[in-house]
Amino acid sequence: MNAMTTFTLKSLRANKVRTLVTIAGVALAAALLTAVLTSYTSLMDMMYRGEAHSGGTWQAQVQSNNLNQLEDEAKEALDSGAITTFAALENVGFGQLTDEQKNQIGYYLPIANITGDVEQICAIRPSEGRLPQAPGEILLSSIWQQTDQPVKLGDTLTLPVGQRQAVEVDDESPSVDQTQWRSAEDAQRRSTIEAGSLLDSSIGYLNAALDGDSLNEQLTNLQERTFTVVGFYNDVNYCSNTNVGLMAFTCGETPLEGMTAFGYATLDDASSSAQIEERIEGAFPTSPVTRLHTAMLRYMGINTGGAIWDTFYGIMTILAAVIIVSCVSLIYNAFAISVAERSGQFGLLASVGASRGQLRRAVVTEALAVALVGIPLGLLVGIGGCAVTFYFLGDGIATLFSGNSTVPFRLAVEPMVLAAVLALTLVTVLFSVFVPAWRASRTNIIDALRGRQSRRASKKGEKRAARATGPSQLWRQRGIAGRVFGIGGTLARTNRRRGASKGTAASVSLALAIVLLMTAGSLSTFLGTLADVASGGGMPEGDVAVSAGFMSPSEAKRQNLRNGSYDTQTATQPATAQEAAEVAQARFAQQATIFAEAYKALSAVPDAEAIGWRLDSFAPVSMDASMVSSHLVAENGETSLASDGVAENGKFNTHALFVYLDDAAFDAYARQLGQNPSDYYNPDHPRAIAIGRAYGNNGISYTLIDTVTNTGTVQVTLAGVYKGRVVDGFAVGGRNENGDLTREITPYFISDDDSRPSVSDDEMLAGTQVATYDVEIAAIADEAPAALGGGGEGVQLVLPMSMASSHAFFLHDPSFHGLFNTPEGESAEVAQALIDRLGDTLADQDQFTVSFLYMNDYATGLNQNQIMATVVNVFCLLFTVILALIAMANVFNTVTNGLILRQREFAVMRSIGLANRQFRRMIASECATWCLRGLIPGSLISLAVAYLLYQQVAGSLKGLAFFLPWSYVALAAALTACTILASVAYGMHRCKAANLVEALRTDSV
Amino acid sequence: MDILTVSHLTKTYGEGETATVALNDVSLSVAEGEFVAIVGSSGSGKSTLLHLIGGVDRPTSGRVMVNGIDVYSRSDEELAVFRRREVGLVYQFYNLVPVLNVVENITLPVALDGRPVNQQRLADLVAKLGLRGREGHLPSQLSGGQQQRVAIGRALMNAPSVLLADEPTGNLDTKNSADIMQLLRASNRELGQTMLVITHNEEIALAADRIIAIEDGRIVRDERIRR
Repeated sequence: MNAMTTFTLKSLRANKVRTLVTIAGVALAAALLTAVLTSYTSLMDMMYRGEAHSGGTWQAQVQSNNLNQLEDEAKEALDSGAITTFAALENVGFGQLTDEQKNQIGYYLPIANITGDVEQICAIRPSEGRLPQAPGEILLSSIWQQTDQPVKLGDTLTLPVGQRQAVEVDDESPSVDQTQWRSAEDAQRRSTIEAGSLLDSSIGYLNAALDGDSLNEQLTNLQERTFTVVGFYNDVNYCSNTNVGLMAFTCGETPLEGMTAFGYATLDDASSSAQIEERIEGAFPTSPVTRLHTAMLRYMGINTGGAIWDTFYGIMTILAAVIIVSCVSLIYNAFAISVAERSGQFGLLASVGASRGQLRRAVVTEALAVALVGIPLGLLVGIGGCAVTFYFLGDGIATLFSGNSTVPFRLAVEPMVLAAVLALTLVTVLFSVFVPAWRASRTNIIDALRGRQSRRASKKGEKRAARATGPSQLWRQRGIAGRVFGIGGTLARTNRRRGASKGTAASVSLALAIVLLMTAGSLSTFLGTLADVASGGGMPEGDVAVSAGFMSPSEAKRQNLRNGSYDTQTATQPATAQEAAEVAQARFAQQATIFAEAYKALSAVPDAEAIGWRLDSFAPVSMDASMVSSHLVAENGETSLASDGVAENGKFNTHALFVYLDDAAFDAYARQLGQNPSDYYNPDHPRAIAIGRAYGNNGISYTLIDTVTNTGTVQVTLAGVYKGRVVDGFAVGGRNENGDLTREITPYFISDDDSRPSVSDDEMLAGTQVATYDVEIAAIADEAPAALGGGGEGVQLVLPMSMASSHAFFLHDPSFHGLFNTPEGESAEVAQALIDRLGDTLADQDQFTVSFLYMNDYATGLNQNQIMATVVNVFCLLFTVILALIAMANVFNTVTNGLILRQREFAVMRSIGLANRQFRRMIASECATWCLRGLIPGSLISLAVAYLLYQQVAGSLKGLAFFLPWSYVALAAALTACTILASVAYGMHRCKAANLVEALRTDSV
Repeated sequence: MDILTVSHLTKTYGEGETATVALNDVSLSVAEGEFVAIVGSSGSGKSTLLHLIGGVDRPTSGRVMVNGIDVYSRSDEELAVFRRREVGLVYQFYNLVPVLNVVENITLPVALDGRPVNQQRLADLVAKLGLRGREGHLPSQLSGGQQQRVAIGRALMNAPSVLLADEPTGNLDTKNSADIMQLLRASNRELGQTMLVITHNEEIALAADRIIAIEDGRIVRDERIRR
């Protein structure tokens, strides 16, 4: 060991506190990186295991008409190592089902022979019994156990088995304008089919009437086969599900002619889905690749895309970047300070002949020694931390990401990750010491020995100093600092304006602290929003909801028509639309009274804590298009007049949801919005609060959409009378004979009413007398009231219950919803008691017939949401705490050391009479400057990071507006302020505690 | 009249077995306008004595009276005021504030006191110190001798009761040393400035009115020089 190394190690030992702080910094950085990366690999590992469990480990599917050839190719590929595992499912035929079975099971019973390890590769796993091992044995879906005539293990199943064949429909098929949803793949497959083609299990059921073409299908070449049921399987996955029914699996059965075989293969070391496809195609030259197991590939780290995954990767990347930057800063500061503190030592070493290279090596050796202890410690702490966190949160995380916890979430430590952390931290450490080492090697011997190294004036400072000599310039209190902090402030200002070092390290660490805290805050906020929305967002308050509604006149009419008891002559008909509206309003008011009573009765149910109720009703409305968002206009274009969804007169027409809250709840809601509730009870001028935002999901991403954007008046259609008869309803919009949208509204009579007037819709509208009234949207709320929840996407208007008696709608009778909290774990029982009581109460009145009655047990769903929220919150909390620790350690380090390094300068000032108060003011003024210098860039960078995170989340949550998490802004400000105060207090204490005499001595190296 | 009285002053550093007695029951008094040289070998306790007189350190026991005031009966805040008004300190390594120019360094004690700078006195001082034309220079732009003159200017600016100098020429060449000594001597004569100067320089010591020798924390010799 050479002298420099010995010196370095001795100096590390001699400065225990500083060494420990530096090691802690390195360890913290390594731990944080390990934790983030290990969380990621553990998650991928769980997803991988989950997908392997439910979908099998196969990566690619190939299709062949010749099983033997497929198996030969597979054997060769396995021998040559081109693929690692292989299994095959060979279609045997399609079992014919009875009509009853069809209703419960599917069009057919597709039967396939299994070859290879299908349990692992295809996740065909018996939940009961075993896999078939010989011809005549069959494994069925567990659905067969739940049919009207349940099948049991050991039963014999005999059924005709045949081939699916496409057949031409004789006559021109009647076109049905109802379009079946169909995937592009399915459409592609169908394009090759013509009459007489044999169909495999990948092709959906052909129905000319539904498909709108001329092909139906039939089973041909039927043979009766008998099987013994040896097992059942639960999990339905890609291998066991087909477009025509759930598979049954056999072994060694003779297939019917022209059947297809599917091979499932896995291979090692693939890096992209294209490469997998290429290599599988190479291994199976005659069998085309029909599908890749994309979910599986994704969890194996093979990029396959997808919005939510882009979000995930994006967030991970940003976090890793922030963590790396903060770790570099922490380690850099630790080393920079440690070198600066010892500049005297380095000068001494140089004076006795240490070369620059030797000095550099001393610092690097020190860094390596610190890394040698810190990095392994960090790896252990990171893994340990993950292990503990996962132990407590594992079930929650599993539920959150895979929807169930059958595949437990556990720690998955990747050697590659540890190596990456090791390399990254080491590079960080070396990078961090590069500048200090260079500085150490440049130490001016004399300056260092005299302790003059620090705080020289800058060139600009010299020029400024040269100007400040005249009587008018001398000690004039300048700047805010001077005015607020007196001579202390003036000194601080002079120091700042003339010094070469301006406390940049402190400002940088402050900026970083703000960035770190704000990153944590933005992450928590945006992830929280995403979690909230993804978990169904905006569910109504309460554990249980019970709902009921009465049969409306049009519903009753439909029923009476169906059973022949409807009599057009005797049915009482109001003569005018106005009268019809009055009848409807009276009806609505009666029902509101009944439901109010019912709610009272429900509130008496034991263990049910009543928290509110509402009545919902729909009615057609017409409003200025400027009152609603462009999104709503576009979404509802079909039902409106012009192609942009707005009528030529600028009106937007839609069915609006009217929500009546009980008066107390409405008043609270209105007050929350700063409204005066009494404004909403005037029957001559009805007012409503519109809900302005809603969550939606278009299947690709979650959307937070604006709905109603401006206040104004809405015209509600109440009732219509056509030639003395009340119309049964109104459709919004309407096309003329040429298919053009021409009407804002179309009155209709129920179609199976034989007395329906045989006139065109246009004539009907012209002849209908319509009653309308105006409702003013007086306020717009961002959030729906708790009793409603935020699910609805459309125009939703909230009114007080009292208004139900004077303004209501003929078209649809209201539906009642009562919300209740229940003791934990008893929601099911209480919900049953509530629905029983509601049924009894409603049956007690004889004015109306109950149309529907149902309950919702939200408690179970909420539980799921709570788990999700807990996971997200704990994750964010841990992240915030760790980042806050790093940030605060950094600030403390730089601020404290910045002061301690200037101990001598302070001592000089104090020895010539700088009083404590002045000293404090000087430091306070300097602090204020660092804060400002750190705060401004820090805030800007935070804003940028927050925006990047927002963009990542917005990729999955369309319409999410960018906002700053103000609570975290406050937290960041408070934490930073506290840390600075603590650091300065400590630094000043150290400066004062040190003996002035000692500090003034110049020969102390 | 005695402007400075030190009685039974003791200063101990450390505790228990490692305790070092830097100053051991030292008593002396200095008359107004006196120029006292303090000599002694390294570690004899002379710097400690100077610091205790200057109100920079606190004694273990004993008393220091400057201008009739008991220095260590004061609070820290009062002590700071005492340092800026009653004493002027000059160190071997100048100890100037690096970001302040010549006039700012000189007038720092006045500024700390919150009083307006007496421009006439400043101008006289700058002239006397031979720093004219260098008013706006920062310490780093000055030679060692010039820096020490600034330090002396700072010490004299408030016309303190006592000027305390700790080897003011210890870091200077012969020419500069002579200049500084001349300056101190002149201040003593012309302004009647009381001075305590620690020195290893025999010439300086011999230029003083009185030489106090300290060894092992005790005064071993105290003699007046007859001119």
